[in-house]
Amino acid sequence: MNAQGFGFVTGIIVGLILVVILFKFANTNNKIKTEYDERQEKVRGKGYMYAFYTALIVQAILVLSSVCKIEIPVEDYILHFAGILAGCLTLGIYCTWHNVYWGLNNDHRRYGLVFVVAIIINILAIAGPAMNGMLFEENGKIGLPALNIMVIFMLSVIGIAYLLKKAVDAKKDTEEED
Amino acid sequence: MKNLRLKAARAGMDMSQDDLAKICEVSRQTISSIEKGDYNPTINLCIRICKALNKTLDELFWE
Repeated sequence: MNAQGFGFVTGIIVGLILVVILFKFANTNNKIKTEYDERQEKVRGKGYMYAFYTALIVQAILVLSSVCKIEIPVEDYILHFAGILAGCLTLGIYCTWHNVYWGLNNDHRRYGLVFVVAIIINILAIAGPAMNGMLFEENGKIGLPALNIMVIFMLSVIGIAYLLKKAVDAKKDTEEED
Repeated sequence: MKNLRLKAARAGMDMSQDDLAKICEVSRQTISSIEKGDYNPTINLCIRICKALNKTLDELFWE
């Protein structure tokens, strides 16, 4: 394993440990795993199915683009994350839109905080290379910052979907009361 | 089909959806979905709801 690979793997491991700590902090009973009720589990099951299909479709598109020699200005190793993140995005939006945005043991405020912190950390990760003009690598492709951009996009879309859903629900509740 | 009997029983006991959800250990949205008829609960959840509202399965869930 070369130095870049070692750094990448170390970064991912540190990231995963951070995620575990943040989940523990964001759940009311200090458990890493979020608990769901039977309806939520059912919705999530369907969400995972759509997430799986999305990941498959994105991977197929990437294979096709590679075969057709279509140049994407992003490093290949980062492109592999596109399918995973697209799947996560599908799961997030599907669950949000079907009223599974909070688990039973989630602390809403802490989760909101974790969400905002995650977005800020990713923005900071791009800000440095962008200011130093190091966003693009020597071959003209975007390297690791592209992953941060994808994560910011995913979190932002899920956040917007959540706010939209809350607004729609609030409107429905008012209509029912009338 | 809306479950108006569940909604009436809950309101009769002066409980909010959130209160009932906490007793039954489910989310508020799940109680809302059952009342709206969007979700058919399992028998286990039906029993938990009946116990929370002091009602029988027949009274709340039988057509």
